[in-house]
Amino acid sequence: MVLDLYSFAKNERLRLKVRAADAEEVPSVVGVWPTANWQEREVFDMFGIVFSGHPNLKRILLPDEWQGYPLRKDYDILQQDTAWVRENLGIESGSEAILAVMGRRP
Amino acid sequence: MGADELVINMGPQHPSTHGVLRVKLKLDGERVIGSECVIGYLHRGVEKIAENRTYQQFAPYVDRMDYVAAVSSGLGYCEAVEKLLMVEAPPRARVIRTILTELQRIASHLLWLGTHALDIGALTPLFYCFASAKKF
Repeated sequence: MVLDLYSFAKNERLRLKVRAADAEEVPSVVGVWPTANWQEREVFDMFGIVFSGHPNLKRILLPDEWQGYPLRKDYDILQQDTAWVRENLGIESGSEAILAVMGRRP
Repeated sequence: MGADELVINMGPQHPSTHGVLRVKLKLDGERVIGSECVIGYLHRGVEKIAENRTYQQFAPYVDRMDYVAAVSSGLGYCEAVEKLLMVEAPPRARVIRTILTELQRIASHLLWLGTHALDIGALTPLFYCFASAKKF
């Protein structure tokens, strides 16, 4: 976890790095900086990092029910929550759907 | 929740509207006593798309992040790539970049001003802003 902090009053910058093991929780800084609320939600949404003590830690950009964390490097570019997409959008998605379409081409 | 309290839903409007979001409002009569924002309607996952593109291939994506100041976000991206590659744009290009981003800044601010006035019920400023923007 890397936190980039900036003070308008002092015009000073601070970069804070915190190491966290896989599935280890990181303490929330919302109690110190309320604006971190949505940013921590985005990090949770995209990377699955859990911030302990966060007042409302749920997905912010993706649907609440989405499975997986897309910005992780092991999340393939063609990967989707195919079940969610099928149920809510009524279409097939993901690498298998794309390969099926490519297979039908002459 | 009290007897006079009411939860109503505001938005989302059509996805092409600017700043599309949904607000769950908690009202006491006409007084807003609480709100919850639901965003993400325009989330495109450009970071993920970028993982599978070359530097040149990704340039058009950043231009579309702000459709009235495409050069501004494009320039930020190009300068980052140039820094990574340790190359520098020639003086003529730097001058052109400055002129273009300044024009884009004026255009995007005019659109912000006009549509902001429109959103709070004033129609006329939009025409003045668009007329000024078209001069560029």
